[in-house]
Amino acid sequence: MRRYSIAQESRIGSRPVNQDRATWLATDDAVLLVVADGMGGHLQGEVAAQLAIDTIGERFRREAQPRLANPGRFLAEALRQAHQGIVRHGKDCRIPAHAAPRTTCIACVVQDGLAVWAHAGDSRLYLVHDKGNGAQRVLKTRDHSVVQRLVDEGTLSDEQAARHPMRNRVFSCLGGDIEPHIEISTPVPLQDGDLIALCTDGAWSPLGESLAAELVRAPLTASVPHLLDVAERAAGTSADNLTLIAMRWEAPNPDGDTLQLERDDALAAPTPSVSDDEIERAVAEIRSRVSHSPNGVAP
Amino acid sequence: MTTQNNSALPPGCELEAYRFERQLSAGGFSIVYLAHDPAGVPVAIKEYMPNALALRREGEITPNIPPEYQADFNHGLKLFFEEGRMLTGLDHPNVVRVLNFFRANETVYLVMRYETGQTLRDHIRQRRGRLGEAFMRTMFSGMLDGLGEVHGHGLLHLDIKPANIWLREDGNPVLLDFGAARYAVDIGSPAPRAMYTPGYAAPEQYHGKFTLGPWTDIYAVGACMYAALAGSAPQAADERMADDEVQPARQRWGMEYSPRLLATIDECLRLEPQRRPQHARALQASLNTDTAADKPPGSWLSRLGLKGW
Repeated sequence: MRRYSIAQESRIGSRPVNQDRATWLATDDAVLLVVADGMGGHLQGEVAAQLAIDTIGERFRREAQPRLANPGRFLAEALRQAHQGIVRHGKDCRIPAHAAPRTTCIACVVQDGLAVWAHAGDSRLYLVHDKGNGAQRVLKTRDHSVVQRLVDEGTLSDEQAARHPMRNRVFSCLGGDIEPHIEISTPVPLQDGDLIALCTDGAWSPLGESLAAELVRAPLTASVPHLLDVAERAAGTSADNLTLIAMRWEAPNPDGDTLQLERDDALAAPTPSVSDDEIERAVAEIRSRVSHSPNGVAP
Repeated sequence: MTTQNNSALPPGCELEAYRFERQLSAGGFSIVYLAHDPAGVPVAIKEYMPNALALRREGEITPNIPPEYQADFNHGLKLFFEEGRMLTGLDHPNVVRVLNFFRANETVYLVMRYETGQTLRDHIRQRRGRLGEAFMRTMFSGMLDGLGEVHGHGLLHLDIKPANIWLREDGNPVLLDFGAARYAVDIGSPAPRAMYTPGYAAPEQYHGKFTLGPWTDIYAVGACMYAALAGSAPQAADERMADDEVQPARQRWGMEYSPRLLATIDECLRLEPQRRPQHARALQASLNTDTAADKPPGSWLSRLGLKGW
């Protein structure tokens, strides 16, 4: 296992309770990072968040011996187990379904130099690769939120989404009466110096795009508290709970036949319809991206 | 007349100021053309035209899409957009470069930089395999540079094969055709489009969504390397799972190539995903290892210099 450093911090903001939870665990071969944001407006949001990190953490302790057989499957099963545990807890406490405890969740495993993550809701993961010329390549999760959907459809711009009254509404989370949509990433190789940050919306929302640039600039022990200072100040008296856990991957010096098959069921599967507008928007989006790239030509 | 394929756009046809010259290739989902932009620069244009869902006869421009196929046709269109979206974010000398994207004739077109050269498939065919060790190491290392960049963007190619590796005239490789590429695996969403090429597709592509990873593309790279020596693809992975008849590279070519190269090929082709090199850089490192102390035992063939490129 290569060297890495991790820093985490959670703040209450201007709220009476901190419903955010974060944890990390490691064996010789694998690292687990988890962040959960218990949902306000539901009873015991902080209990749901705590159950999520405990369930996923316990499962990691049990299965990572010291490797996980299949990190993607581990995450899918662990988040599902957490969801079931939260639902059961709500029922045990006789909380009505509409008010049952819920939490968002983002969890990431690093093993064999690859990062894979799973999420439900609008807590995010950022994977930041510093290109060295002041620019960064940033991968981030797509929120399971109504506004993100509107942004994807082209109805809202990023700026409009940031101010939208529905910006805190998620369509997937752990707990509650709707089966969560748990999205698993493909495993992504890490390079020396890459940063992984998991955070709740209280942290990412006031920071915007500055998060990635700030993380690469300083050691995590400095940048994590600094980022939360900036976010808390920007949010002012309406500051939500803020949580950020970040990891820097620090490596020591390393050392015929082309028939294309198509499964029949692929085309037979139910296919979502695509509107004409959607097509136009996609074309426009791709064209605008091309015209910003160095060699793109738009005759 | 019964035909399996759609007709290509007629030569001289103009769309969005591009002048179409001729068809370069055709697959089940698309046709690729050579065209020129208004400045006269040659470009390759890929037209979404699925044979199973759209019909275009000789001399026609706009395809006929039966109403009952429209939804499926549009779904494929969406996947074609995805390919365009993914590629516009990638800027790497070993990855095909997208120049433009437009809509016409009820379908969509992806404009790419035109490269002269040939596919690795054609090169392997012409030489009947047995490509030289130095060429193998250099070319695959360059291709892995591009693949590493693809993986770094959170993408998997999932259809790497000799026909999708373009060799520029200087032998520098370019990774083509991201029609099968994928971002993320969603639990609960409908099964993603399954598209794979027997012989190059890894065992986990036949089943099991959680096991797809960079190692899945690594298997395909191993199969390409094997094919580059054998002249044809190794046995398909699903058959290997039942009865593995692939002769290890180390056994088959032990006298002609360095043990290191052959061992690397065998490692890539392991059926268990976790026993392969886990990502492109790990594989690249074994290809780039200094070979001075790692010479093949030698044979009369190599002494005659029949393997270089």
